[in-house]
Amino acid sequence: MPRPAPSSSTSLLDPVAIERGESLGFLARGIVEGYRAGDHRSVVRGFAVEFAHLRDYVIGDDMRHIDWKRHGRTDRYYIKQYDQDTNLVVHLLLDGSESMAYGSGPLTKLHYAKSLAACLAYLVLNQRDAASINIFDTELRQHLPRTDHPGKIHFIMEQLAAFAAMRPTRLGAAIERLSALAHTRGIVVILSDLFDDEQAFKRGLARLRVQGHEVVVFHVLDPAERTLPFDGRVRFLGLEAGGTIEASPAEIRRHYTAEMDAFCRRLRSVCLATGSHYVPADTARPLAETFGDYLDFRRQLRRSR
Amino acid sequence: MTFLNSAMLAGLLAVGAPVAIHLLSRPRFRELRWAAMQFLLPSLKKSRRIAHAEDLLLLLLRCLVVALLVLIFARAVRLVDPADLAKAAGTDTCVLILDQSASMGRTDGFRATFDMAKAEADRFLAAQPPGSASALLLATDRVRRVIARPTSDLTNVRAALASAPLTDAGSDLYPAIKAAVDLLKKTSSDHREIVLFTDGQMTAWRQLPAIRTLLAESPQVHLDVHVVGETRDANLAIVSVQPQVAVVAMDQPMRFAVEVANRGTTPATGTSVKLAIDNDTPVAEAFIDRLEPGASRVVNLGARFSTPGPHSVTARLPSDSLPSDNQRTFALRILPQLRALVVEGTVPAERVVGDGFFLSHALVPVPPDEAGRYFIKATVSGPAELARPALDGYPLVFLSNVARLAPAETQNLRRHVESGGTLVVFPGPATDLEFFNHNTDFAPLLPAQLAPSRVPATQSKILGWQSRDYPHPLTALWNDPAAGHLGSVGVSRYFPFLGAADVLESHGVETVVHYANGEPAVLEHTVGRGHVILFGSAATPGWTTLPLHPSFVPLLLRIAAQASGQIDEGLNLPPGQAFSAPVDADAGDAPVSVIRPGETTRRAAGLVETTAQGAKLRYDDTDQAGVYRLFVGDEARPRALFAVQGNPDESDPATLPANDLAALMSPQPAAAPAAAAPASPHAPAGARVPGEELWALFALAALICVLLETALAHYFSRSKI
Repeated sequence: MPRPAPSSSTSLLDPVAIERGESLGFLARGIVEGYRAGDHRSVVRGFAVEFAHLRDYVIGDDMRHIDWKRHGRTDRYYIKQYDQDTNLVVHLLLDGSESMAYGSGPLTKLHYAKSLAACLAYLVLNQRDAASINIFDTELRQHLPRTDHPGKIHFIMEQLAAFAAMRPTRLGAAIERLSALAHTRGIVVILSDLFDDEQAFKRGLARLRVQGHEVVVFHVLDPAERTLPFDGRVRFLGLEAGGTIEASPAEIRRHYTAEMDAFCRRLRSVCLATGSHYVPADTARPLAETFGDYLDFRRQLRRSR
Repeated sequence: MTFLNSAMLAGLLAVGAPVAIHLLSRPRFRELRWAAMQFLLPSLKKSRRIAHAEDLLLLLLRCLVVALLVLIFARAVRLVDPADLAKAAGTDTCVLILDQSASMGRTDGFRATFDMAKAEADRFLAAQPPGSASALLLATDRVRRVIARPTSDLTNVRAALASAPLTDAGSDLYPAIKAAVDLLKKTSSDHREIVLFTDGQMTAWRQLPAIRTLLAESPQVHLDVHVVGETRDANLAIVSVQPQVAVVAMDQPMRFAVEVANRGTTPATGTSVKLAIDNDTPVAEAFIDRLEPGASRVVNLGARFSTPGPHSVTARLPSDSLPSDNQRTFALRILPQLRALVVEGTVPAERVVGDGFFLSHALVPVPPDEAGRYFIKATVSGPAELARPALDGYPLVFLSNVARLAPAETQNLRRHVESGGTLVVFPGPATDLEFFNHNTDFAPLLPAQLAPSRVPATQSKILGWQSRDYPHPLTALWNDPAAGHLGSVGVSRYFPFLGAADVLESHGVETVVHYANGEPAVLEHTVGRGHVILFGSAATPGWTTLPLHPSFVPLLLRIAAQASGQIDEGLNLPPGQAFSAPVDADAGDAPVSVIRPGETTRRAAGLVETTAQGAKLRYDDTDQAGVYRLFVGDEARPRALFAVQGNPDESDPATLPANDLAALMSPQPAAAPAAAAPASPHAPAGARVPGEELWALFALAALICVLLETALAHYFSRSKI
């Protein structure tokens, strides 16, 4: 299958997903740290809350923090920023390896993951949280530092769209690098097919969790990779590892699907063991459903605490 | 194991077919770029192991099926040690003899004795243990070797038994029993047996003493006789059908003597005997009021033939338990007319005492007003008639007291005889001995030279003919006492023949009749295709009483019959005898067809044979009684017709007494030590011999393989869905 052309930036945002995501919000499940006050609880507690600075009021800000004195003088609304308030930092870790370039339909896994990343970035930035974009293959190939400026979404999407999958995967190294870069606690969202060393992945997750990050793993898979629906005899050409394998899919389908299911189960177990979220992301499923269902799940989970 | 049909082993090459199909079925691949390669390889390894094993299993099963089929067609048999074969309980080498004579056609109303005998023989073979060997002989008055050597392929023996036909032949079991003993002597089986299936008819055991001697000289051979069928009380048989005239001619009233015998044990009353011409509706019928058991009666039935050529007459009785003797057919050739030329040496003015007078009147022994309708036309003339080309119109030429002949007459006469004519010479007072004995054309025609005539050196000066024991066909009629004898024929003067009888005989000359003193009185020999009969005396009463003797007319008629080819024609044969008849030379190599008794369609019967003696028809398959019609090419009318007549002895219901039968079936002799048993007749000493056929086992195995392959292939394909 030919390598798909880099996605255009404008096609990455699924409007339905955005709409649903906006209505549901993307709220940190756990405790996060941010560089400005936001909607999220902070892990820094203390009796001294120091005034940090003022910023313009934005619709949706907590009215309790409006500086009324400044309003009286200027007739403009300003929000007091204190050290004790944080905002969310979402570190998006996108698998840009060659294996993500596979797609049995018009949508490749990479495009799907890019769309998911774009939607998440948009949602995060839109609610004044911060997002950092990290794309990896054999190493962390592209790192966009965290930003909370909504206007940056276009740049983010351009960077996402421009990235082409050309190299193999080294997920473990990427996670390690990210953990070094993400000094503050936040949410690490991994979007990958996870076709790599499972032990390295496990160690990576554990490290992130030790650092206090909340980890969400979107396991992006093509439906053909799950079911091997092909007929006749096929010469499989490896996208990353190279090599060829000739087989009759009908003859190996049973064993293959068993292997794939076991793989997914192991990954789910790893995530569960590390307190991470495992989200199956089937590229045949509309992005909005995958995205929205997960956000809905998070919202309900938060309410239950 | 060995193979009865080893040529079929070449079919093992077909075992490569499934392998070739497997190799040629190379898959075509489509290419697909794939990310999850790490999951393919383990899956492939697992499934390949399984698929490889499945494919191999299916391939093995298919190859096995092909191999098993080849082994079936190659007729694999287990090789066994002859000693083991002999040691095995009940293993036999036996020779089956099936009586297929006419008497086996007796029925009980449902089945013939022959069919019952075949069924019993088949049961006997079916009960034989594995490893048994059997041969099959068919017995009539001859032996026919159907399975000439004992074989363990009893299936083949049973098949040959089932197709054995019933015949109308007579029976004599000695040749078959002797053939069986000779066969068994060559085997080394401990148990050697002749198993005979017969109706027990006494006639078949006519050589009982010889059979006893044969069995006594072969103590290792045991005879087991299975008497099949029951003797019926009632049986009438037609023993013979004979024409009562010497020459059978068209439009002449003829009488046939039909002899009927009562072979049953109860009197027969109100028996109808019918006579039919050419198997058509009966033309005559006679009734026998009462016929006692063991008695016979001759009834005369008349018939008239309106057309010349080959015909048959069939005498019939009502059907009884033995149908084959209820009818008998006689074949004959009807003459249209016979022309005879009587050449007188002297033609007197008064014909009453001419040299040919008595001859011409004996040849046409009817009143002048009936002479026109009589079948023999006699012409009396002088020697000049012999020179005419029309001589060929006279199959029979008499020379009576002819002195000599002109060269043209002699040459024409010689040509006539050599081409098939009959010449009868009566010398007389005018005979020129120099001409008769030394003429280069005429002398070779005669069977012997003549000595000067003389008066018999008997007291009465009369020398009579022999009074009994007439071997020649012309005089065989007088062997029947009812016909009288020729002893009262006497000569008062005669020409002795030069040369001793044995010398003459060595030159092909036959004595028709001799004088009472042993000198030949009438000689006969063949010249070319014709016959010459030389009397030693004249045809006039001056020298002999023959012209006035009652035997003169029938003697001349028999000569006339021979001239027309009716005597010794070979048209009526016993079963099994080959028929042969000369045909025109232009029919050589033409196809021959036959209509057999009871059939209406022609069968191919070879070609007309061409020999040095000319072309002839020949047909050998004459085991069935009745009329046979032989056709040459596409002719509508048969070229030859002959009849096969069964042996009347087959009607005799007498059976071999039970004690005689029991004495023949001697106890089983003690088995010889196994160590002394040599190898079987099929192989040299020490070699293993074919035993049981294994085809059934291989067929079952092949069936199992096919079913297993089908089920596994289905299961394997479904598991991949």
